[in-house]
Amino acid sequence: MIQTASNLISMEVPSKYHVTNERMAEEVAVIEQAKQNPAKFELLYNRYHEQIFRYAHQRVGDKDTCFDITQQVFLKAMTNLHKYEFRGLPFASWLYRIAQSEVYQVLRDKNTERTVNVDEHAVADIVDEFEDSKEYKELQYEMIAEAMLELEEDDLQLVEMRFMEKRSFREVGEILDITENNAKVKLYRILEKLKKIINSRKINK
Amino acid sequence: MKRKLNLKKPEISSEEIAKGRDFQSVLKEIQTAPPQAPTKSFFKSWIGMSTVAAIVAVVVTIAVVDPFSWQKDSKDQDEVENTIKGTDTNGSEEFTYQERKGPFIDPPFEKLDVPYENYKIKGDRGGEIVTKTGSKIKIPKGSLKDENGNAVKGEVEVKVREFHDPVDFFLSGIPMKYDSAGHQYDFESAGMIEVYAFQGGKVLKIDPTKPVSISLRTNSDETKFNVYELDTVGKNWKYQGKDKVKGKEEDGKIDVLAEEIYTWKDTSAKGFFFGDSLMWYKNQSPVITAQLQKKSDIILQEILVIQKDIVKLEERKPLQPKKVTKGLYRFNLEVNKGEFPEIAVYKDVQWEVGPENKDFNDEMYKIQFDNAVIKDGATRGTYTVTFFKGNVKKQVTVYPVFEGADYDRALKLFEEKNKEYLSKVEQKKELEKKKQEDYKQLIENVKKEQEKMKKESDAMLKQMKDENNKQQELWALRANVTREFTIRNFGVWNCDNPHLMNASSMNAAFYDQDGQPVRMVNVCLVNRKLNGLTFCWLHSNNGVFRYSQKGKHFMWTVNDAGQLLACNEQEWEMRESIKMNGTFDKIVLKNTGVDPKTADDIKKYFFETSPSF
Repeated sequence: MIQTASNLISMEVPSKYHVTNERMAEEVAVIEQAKQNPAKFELLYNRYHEQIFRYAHQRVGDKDTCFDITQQVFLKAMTNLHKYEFRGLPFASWLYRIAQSEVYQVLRDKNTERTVNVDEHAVADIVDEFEDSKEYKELQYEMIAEAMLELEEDDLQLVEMRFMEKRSFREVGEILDITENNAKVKLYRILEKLKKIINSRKINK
Repeated sequence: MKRKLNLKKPEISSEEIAKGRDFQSVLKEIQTAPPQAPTKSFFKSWIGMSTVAAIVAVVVTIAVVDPFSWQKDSKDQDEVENTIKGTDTNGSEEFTYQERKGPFIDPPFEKLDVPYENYKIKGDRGGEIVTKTGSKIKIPKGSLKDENGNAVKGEVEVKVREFHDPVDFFLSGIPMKYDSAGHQYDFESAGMIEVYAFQGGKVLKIDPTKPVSISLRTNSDETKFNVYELDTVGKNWKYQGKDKVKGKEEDGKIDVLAEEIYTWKDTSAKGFFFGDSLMWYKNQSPVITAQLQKKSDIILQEILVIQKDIVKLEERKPLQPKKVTKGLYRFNLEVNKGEFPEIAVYKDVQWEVGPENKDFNDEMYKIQFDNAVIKDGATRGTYTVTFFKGNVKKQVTVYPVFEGADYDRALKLFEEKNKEYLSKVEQKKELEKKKQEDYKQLIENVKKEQEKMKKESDAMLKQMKDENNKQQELWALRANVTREFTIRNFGVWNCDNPHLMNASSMNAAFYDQDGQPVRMVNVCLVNRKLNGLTFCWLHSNNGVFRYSQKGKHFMWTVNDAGQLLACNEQEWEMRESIKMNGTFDKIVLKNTGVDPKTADDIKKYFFETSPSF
């Protein structure tokens, strides 16, 4: 039986990844310094190391590989820091984009399966978003989780960011380089797709 | 990409993640400049590389041009057509994508083009020009006419340039597409030449009855090629007949050899290009060594800690109780339990004055001393007591002893504690042994890894040398082969084999290696096996273009910042589909880091990083 949570789409909850304007301004100053002196980057490295690691770990099973990916993300970020331009988005969104690319690179290079980590609470949150959620709450959460494997990669990413990583739409938008509103619209569509996959699985079962 | 569902996500604490933090190693790595790729004589090898030709791809370009004036002005004649609904790069807003038709001839770099060679001849006598590549242009006597059709006398300047490979075609901006009766063809080129004769700044004409003979150096000895003249007014190529191949030894031998080179594969695939793979080994070897060194340092540190623990245990090793000795002096003394843990476990300890204290006698034994200080003696189980009485100080060696039942109790206690002690020491020694084995294994692994990498790296170098030998052989075979034809107009002449476009279309979105959209005017698609390329004109970093599914592709572009970006065959094949407003193929164009001053700079880069290119 699935436990349900609050309505995540309609109700924005503060996210632990939220970056305030003050912090963004601080980071811009640090980045400018780091462009001259890379050692100054340490503050950002320490600030985002765990986040980037967890991002990788959501998608790659092996812990050591995730540590390597994390180091590589920061290495690339520092190497390309001169190209970074502040566009009103948190610096982290740039790091996440590098991380995204790095994760896929590693999965391809190592010919490794892409891990999809799903927990019961996240599935409950997803089901709660379905309009006719009652019908789906009776289902085993494993079945819904398995249905998620059939989502396209971009769709899965969005679901992961929203439900597994509990990011706000604004943050999802910043990372995926889409607007907050677009992130919401996309998520509604993805959930519809997911429902179709689940229904089809129910029929075939 | 295969996926694996994990319903029980392992919890990892922040502390555990923090252990993986190592900013210094990242910092150290970026402060180490990457090594340079080896350089070698390029031009021969380059020519050697690019044999058979044919082109794949895209969009027609339009603009009326005048020789020597197109580079600067033609971009003003850009036209816009083919409205396509699309989405911008951030996917948030719909926009109207306009596929732009560029000028007919449009070199990508403003200040970098295939240079002309300049020669002078006597206008009325004609003459034979031998270009730097060995191509020959024979102008018959009386062939040159001015704009009014009059025979030219006096000095004439002849400008010539040749195009033998995709980089030449790319820099020239000359379209490599052919339209015949409404059918679109891609050109496979066996060489292209551009020739003009000038006098007084005006382009001369050729008397059609006395055509100019061209003997063009070529990359192919095959006979399938036709001769085409570029019609800059009609914006198309005009078929002008067949050429003759001169100097070939065995039909197709060059092409067979070239095929072997083209099908060469960098099996290690450690990087973007072949050179990246070598670079990978070069860079990765010290990195892996450093990583293993770090691991071995950790194990050594652990061993040290275990050894210290063993020493600490030994310090607390239980002291075997001794019975009192008859005839020796004894006394009681309270000792600090923390300072002497080996004594602290026992009760009723007496201190026996050792027989070595010859001067200790009854008189001394009877003295009521004010104070006494006990310290460890010279050997374990012996102690030194210093007695004080006013200014008198007496030092004696003493032993802890037990009397009667006290001894039995102490002995029993000792046996228990000693067993416990021995077990702990044994455990620590076992652990130390295991760590020593781990260390040994790690060193073995380091050695094996280094040997493996060296072997792979050596194999790759050998492969590269073999490749180079083949190129040399190919070049030697090509040295004598030329394509012979005559021209009745000055301009661009191309030895080509047209391929009917059997193209697929693709919605492509272009990104750099950091995932940022690439801003560019056009992108070139090259079929590596074939000698040609086509420009695809783009309005934004998204574009719809057509390409042939056959063959292996290579793509490059010059972005808004004037940087040369490229996507090799491997990257092309591994491109992902991305969803925006519709499905797009995500093409990653990586910055080559080349700041080209000449065509050879670009060729050198592609050759060194991808010999099969």
